[in-house]
Amino acid sequence: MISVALPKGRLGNKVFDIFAKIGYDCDEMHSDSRQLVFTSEENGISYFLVKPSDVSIYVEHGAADIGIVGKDILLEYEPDVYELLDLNIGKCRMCVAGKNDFIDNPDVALRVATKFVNIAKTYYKSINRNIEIIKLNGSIELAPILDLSDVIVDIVETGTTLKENNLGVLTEILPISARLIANKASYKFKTEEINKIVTKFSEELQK
Amino acid sequence: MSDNLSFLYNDELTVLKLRKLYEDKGFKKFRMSKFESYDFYARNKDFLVGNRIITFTDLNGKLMALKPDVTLSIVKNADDSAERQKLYYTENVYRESKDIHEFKEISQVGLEVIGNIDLFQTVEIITLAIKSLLELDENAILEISHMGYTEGLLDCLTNDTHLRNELHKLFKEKNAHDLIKLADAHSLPKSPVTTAVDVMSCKSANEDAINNALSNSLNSRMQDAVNEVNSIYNLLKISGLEKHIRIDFSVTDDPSYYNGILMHGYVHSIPRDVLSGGRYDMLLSKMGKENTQAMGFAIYFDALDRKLHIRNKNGTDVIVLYSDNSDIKTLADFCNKLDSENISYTAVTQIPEITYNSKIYSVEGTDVKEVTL
Repeated sequence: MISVALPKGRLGNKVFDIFAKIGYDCDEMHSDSRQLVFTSEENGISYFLVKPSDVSIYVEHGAADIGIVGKDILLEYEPDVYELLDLNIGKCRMCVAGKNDFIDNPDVALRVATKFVNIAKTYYKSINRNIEIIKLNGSIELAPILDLSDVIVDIVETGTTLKENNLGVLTEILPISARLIANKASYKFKTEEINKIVTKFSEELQK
Repeated sequence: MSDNLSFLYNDELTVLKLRKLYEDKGFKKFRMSKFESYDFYARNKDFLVGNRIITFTDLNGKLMALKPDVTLSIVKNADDSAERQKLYYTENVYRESKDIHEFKEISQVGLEVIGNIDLFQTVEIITLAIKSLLELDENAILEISHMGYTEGLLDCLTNDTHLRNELHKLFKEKNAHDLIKLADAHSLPKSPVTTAVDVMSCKSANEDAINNALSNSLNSRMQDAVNEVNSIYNLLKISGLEKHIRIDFSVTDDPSYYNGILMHGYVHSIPRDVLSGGRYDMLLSKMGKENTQAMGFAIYFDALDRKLHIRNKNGTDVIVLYSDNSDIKTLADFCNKLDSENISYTAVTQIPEITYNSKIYSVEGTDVKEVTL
């Protein structure tokens, strides 16, 4: 039996559809029940849906053998897990964004508002830029508008929200996509089963 | 171990069993003090798991540290003149916990061999690592790899230190997709990239993994590594322990400390490795002990707490209830009788909230009666 942590929402649904196609369907997932764990004994798999940022925690601590998580979460929290496959879905970009007329003054520390503290610190360290981090949990785009920060570091999908608020992408830090991760100990004991899923998943994605 | 030790928790029993395992192979117990000079650890910070150390100033104004590691002390105190020293330890170390951002006390049992490490000695250490894991779980797995293989592979890819570090990280994550992207971005040679992706995939059983690794070897460093693992594997087959081995040539560690064999042990229901170790000649040369070899492993009991901190027996066999009305001689006679029959008991004036499955006797005057709750 392989347990899978899926992110709640669009990405989780899309990934489950792929699991179903490659032979890991689960009838319980199609019902409208309030169940938290969905199991298919015949296909040897069980799923549970969790907050996207918690997927890596469930996998790292062994509550799930494998999980689907954005690269942004992996870079931010650096969980000790195997990253076995790039699904190339759920694609977006981690960007520095700010007001369209923003001009950086290198003489003062740059005020950066973000949910992704670790990613922002690592990026600015790599370019030797002195920063002040303002940790926010949501509505990051508001920060430069209200002059809470000079720039933001956040995920950009289409850029529409930025445009509507007179903001724009200043730098793209890295591309983001969904990854299949595995718990290290689970992988040792269930190598074949997990490799089978990875291979089938990879083949399905290439179709 | 006998039923007389049933009051011990399983982790305490396991430590005793491991001690016997190591003592039976001639290992001597190493005892270290709780504190060392901070300077000593600061010089070897990269070797430590986590960067934070608990420090304090001693009465002479010297900055001291609560030990975060045992191996470093063993290496420092190793007798250079001895041909080979075989030491084991059961110690607590103090490290930062990544999860709670606080220090925690971690119980460790491990062994180190310092001196001449030949093939037989290597196999003995690996055998002890497997047998240690089997004390924890009969289906345990010891993952074996060799630093020479990944380092040889990296030699074929690049000499750039920064790039090598990035590749190391990707090896550790089994992240073949990002490794291919990184290799493309830096125009690294194709053949070693294909080999890297192949060894990361872990698709072969041990013998095939050895054969594949050998046929994919691109230099003598890689070949030597595979040949050593092959020799070890064949010797382990003699003792029938090979079924607990998983060979994975993509596993790597810090090359400034480790060379040669690497080991990671896994047991069911624990989400991370509970044993880790390997050959670390580089640490010795960093500490000025060139030409000395060393290999060892440690078992982390903090990870095993939930699995092992249980015992077969709770409470005593009997609860003896007495009061002011009890005849003291009758009470003493009854307790002596229990003692002579090797029955454990606790004499109390009130029935405890939790009685486990103890029999309860009440001494009333000169009568002893069994009490049913």
